[in-house]
Amino acid sequence: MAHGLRSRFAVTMLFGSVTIIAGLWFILSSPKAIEKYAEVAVEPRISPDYSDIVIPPNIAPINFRILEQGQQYFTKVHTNSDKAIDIFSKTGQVRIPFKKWWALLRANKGNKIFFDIYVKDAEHGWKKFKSISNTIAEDEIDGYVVYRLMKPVYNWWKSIGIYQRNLVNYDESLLMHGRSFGEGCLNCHSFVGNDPDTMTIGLRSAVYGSSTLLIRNGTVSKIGSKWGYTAWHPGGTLAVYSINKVRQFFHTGRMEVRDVVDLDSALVCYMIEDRKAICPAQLSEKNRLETYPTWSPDGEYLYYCSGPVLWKDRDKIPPENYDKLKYDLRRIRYDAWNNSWGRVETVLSAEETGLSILLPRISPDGRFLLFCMCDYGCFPVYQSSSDLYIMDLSTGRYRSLAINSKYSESWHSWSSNSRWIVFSSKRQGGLFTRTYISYVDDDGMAHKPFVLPQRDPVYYDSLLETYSVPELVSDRVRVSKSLLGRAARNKDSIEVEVPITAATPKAVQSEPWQERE
Amino acid sequence: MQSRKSQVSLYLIFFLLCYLYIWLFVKPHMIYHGFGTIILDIPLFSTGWRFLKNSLGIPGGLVFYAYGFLSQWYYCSWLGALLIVMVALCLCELSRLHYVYAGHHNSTVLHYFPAIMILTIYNNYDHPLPACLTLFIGLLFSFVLERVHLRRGTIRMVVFCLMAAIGYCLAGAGGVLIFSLMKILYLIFHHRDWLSAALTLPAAAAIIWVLAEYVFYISPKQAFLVLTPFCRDLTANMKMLSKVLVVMLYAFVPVTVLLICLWRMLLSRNRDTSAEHTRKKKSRKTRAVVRRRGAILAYFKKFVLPAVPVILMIVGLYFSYDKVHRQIVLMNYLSRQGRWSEVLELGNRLPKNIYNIYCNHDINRALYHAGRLPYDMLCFPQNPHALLLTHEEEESSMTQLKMCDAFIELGNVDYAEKLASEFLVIEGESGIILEKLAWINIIKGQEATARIYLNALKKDLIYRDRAESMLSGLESGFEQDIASYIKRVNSYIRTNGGARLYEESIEEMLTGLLRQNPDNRMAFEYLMACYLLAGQLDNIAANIGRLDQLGYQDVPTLYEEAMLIYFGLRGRELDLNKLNIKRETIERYRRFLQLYNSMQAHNRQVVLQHLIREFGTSYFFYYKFTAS
Repeated sequence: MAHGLRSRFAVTMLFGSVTIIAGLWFILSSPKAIEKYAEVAVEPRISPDYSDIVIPPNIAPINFRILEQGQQYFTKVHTNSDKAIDIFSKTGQVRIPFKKWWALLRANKGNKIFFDIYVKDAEHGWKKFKSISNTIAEDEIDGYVVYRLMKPVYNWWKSIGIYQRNLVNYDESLLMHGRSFGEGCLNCHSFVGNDPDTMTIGLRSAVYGSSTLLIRNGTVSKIGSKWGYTAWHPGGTLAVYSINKVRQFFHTGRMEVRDVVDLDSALVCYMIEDRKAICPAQLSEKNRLETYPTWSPDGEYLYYCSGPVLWKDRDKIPPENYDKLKYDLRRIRYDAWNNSWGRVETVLSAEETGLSILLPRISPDGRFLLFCMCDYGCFPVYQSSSDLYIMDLSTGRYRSLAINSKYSESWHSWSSNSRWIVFSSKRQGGLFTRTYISYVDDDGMAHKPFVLPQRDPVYYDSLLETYSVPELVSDRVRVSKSLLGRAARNKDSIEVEVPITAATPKAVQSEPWQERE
Repeated sequence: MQSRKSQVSLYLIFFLLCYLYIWLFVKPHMIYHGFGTIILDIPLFSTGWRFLKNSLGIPGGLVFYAYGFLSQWYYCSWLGALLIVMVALCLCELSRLHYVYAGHHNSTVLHYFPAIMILTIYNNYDHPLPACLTLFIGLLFSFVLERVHLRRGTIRMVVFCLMAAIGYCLAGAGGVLIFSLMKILYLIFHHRDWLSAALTLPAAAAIIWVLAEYVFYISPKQAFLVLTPFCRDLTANMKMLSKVLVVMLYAFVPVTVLLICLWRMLLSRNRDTSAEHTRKKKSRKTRAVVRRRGAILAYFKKFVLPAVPVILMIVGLYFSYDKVHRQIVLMNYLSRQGRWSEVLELGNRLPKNIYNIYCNHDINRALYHAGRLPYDMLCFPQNPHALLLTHEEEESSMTQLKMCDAFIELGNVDYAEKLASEFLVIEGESGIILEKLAWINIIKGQEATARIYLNALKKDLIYRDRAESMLSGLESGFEQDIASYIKRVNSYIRTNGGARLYEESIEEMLTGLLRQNPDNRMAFEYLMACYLLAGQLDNIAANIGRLDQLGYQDVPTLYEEAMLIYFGLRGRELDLNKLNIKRETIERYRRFLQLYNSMQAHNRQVVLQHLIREFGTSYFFYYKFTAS
């Protein structure tokens, strides 16, 4: 017994000593500070590109990887006033400690933040690169972003989920997954402004049919029709959604070979309390395609996109002149008191811009309208020509944002204080969409965007999922996942009769490829 | 002690034989290369926390994770064989422990049955690893629970519920099912606890329901099927024999334990009354008979019984062996390796009465690579759909993979990308498809996207080195032959194909590729093969002029024969200066016509046999008897 105890003690001591020695070696082998170094006049290459950006004071640490060759790396994160954060690394991966990062950001709102990067190589010793300088904004960003994660889809889908990500840290939690209802598909999600308490999710399933989940203050109801692009009236009493007869087709010899066209589309207005849908004649013109509705923050105007039907045969795919179809930006007055619709006005015409205007979103302060323009058609994600534009609503003047890349930019959303936008961009090679954040200043100038930070600096390097429809919300969406799953599988739903008029699309069929990024 | 020793020796002999058979004959690397094609399922495995986290987020996550990891072992045949034998050995030993616990103390044959079933399934090139792992966890849990001495029924029930919950997370409903069934048997026969036995299944069902609803967020219907033999994914694409064996594998131990328990119960009831009764009545003569029987029984137990597992295994393997299926698996393996000469060799050895569209497709590709497609295509059975696998309404994963390869070679890279992307979405991030997507993007010049695929590929244990070398190729340039291959295929990509649905015909696609780059030899030969098989002589004549540009030294035999028929049918004079047809081909055509024209009702069979012997692999014969 005594012998057994002794040997156990010896083993414990040995193990402890080895651990302590290894720890000491690691600490001692890391230099305390770099005293001798050569200066390099250029900024170091880092991935993701977190240089010259404006960051929110409530964002998670922006971890990155140093792309310069070296054996040891030292990064000093500091402002002009506070104590620096020192990070040593042998791999070049820089993971900034949470608490120190938050303290630094909180204490330095409106100031510059610097990353001093030193790289040691065997031949030349330590080199100090030119400091990377970023700015900490005064304005916070909303706490959460809700997005859909999926692989690039052609005809079939699997494993699609809607997730919410806490921007203050890296916590990503599942909101709903397709496996909850027989590997079904989740479509666009939409909120009333940036409020997480009211939300809709479009569903499609071979087993449970197509429907929409309406989430209000933690309760879930199932509406028996699938909503397309949805815009909630700021009052939360009605939602306008599109019904689209979408078809997919393909190109050859292009980076993005996929393309889609709405053979027919219209807008439908759903009154939440009455559980009734109406199809205003102005929003469902027979010879026009209406889509992408969005409300002005005061709820007086509904903005939407509208393009002419350029084909006679509404079943031919791709239809004739599909590449000449360009959407105008229109608006219509809505009188909430009388529940009546006014006259349609063209805000910006495709004739004037020469491009197709899509996805309008108005800042919550009502000053700016952010939208996409691309060469043609209705789906900017598949168009590398798609860029973001901003319009000053007081003057009607618009311009392209400096943050655009040569790849597609789309799916943008405003923060509740109108100072931040998140959007999807394919700038990491042209295929995979990632979520980018950009600061918009008082003059409507968007600053250099940065990709949504992740704990793992190389996270995006091998990620085969695309981020789709990122929506900023002020808080966590608090709804039970099992409740959502049960509602999706529920056979009972609120039946919605879409009033059939001559303008109503002939068939709004569910087909697998309608799942788009 | 002696018995234990002989048991170990028997184990050694049995499993050594199994190992050698699997390693040298079944060759597990053929299973590895059959994933996604011959074996529909692709076990996914990727290094890193993200994959582990995602795996554990579904019921039976540990089994799926282990399945993905262990399946990589098949890449090396000796390691794969070791894995299969180890799995069989574990199940064998676990079954034995259960039989011993149930009261059958000297099990010699029974516990070998699961191992024999597993080997028989593998002999069919089916892959029952998830079922084996599930069964293992179920049996292990129930054995552990029985070995822990818990006297109070309520505590036993609580521990059962906890273990069932863990079991569901690790091995899905299949694991819980086995665990519960074994538990019920022991509760009834060992503990005589009828109430707990009655509550066990409802408790297990409730646990599964709660976990499905509040932890995994899946529908109850899905939840109750995970890793059970009723789950379609578990036996997808397996042969009927393998499917039956998988169900038997699940049922075997519980049923055997039930029978053992029942037998012991009956025996113990009869023992008191009948043993006393017979002892009194036995005469000396009967005792001698009993002694003799005992001696025979002992001899039987010592020498015959130990041989039974080996004999059963041999019988199982013999009856489950399917030579043709093995050849198909082998051809699939060789074609995936690009070993085209071996594909042709094997194609020659395939029984002539057996036709498989995928083999036909592989053989045609092999012929193209050997430069023999326009010469020897008709030496093999042909189906016009086999060229580019157009036989299915919706492409199966096997078609998708094979077509992806063929389309990359042809230069129809966009369509290859579509197929590969769909495969990725449905089957997951397997090494084979990530590599293809990386190549597609490299060929298209989309290097940033290719890098993302390659970084994902680096997490695959088998493909890691290949990914590294491709990444370094992207950094510092590829070797000469790879670079010229990339450049060549890139030049084939259509830049003016326009927008369309993916419903263009094969002819449209191939002519489009030839329009883009008239030097696309594969597109030309496949187009001509299509025309030959469809008997479209006009189109062959219209395209024969491309031969010079493509650098053919002479007119390939099948084209010569087609042209002779074409001119013959139209009664037109053949300009031999324009079209360099060999004189012997003309002679052969004359001879063929002579024989063909001599065919009458009375000698039809004789002439036909003659034609088959002399012209069976010629286009003359094909055109007259098949195409026209």
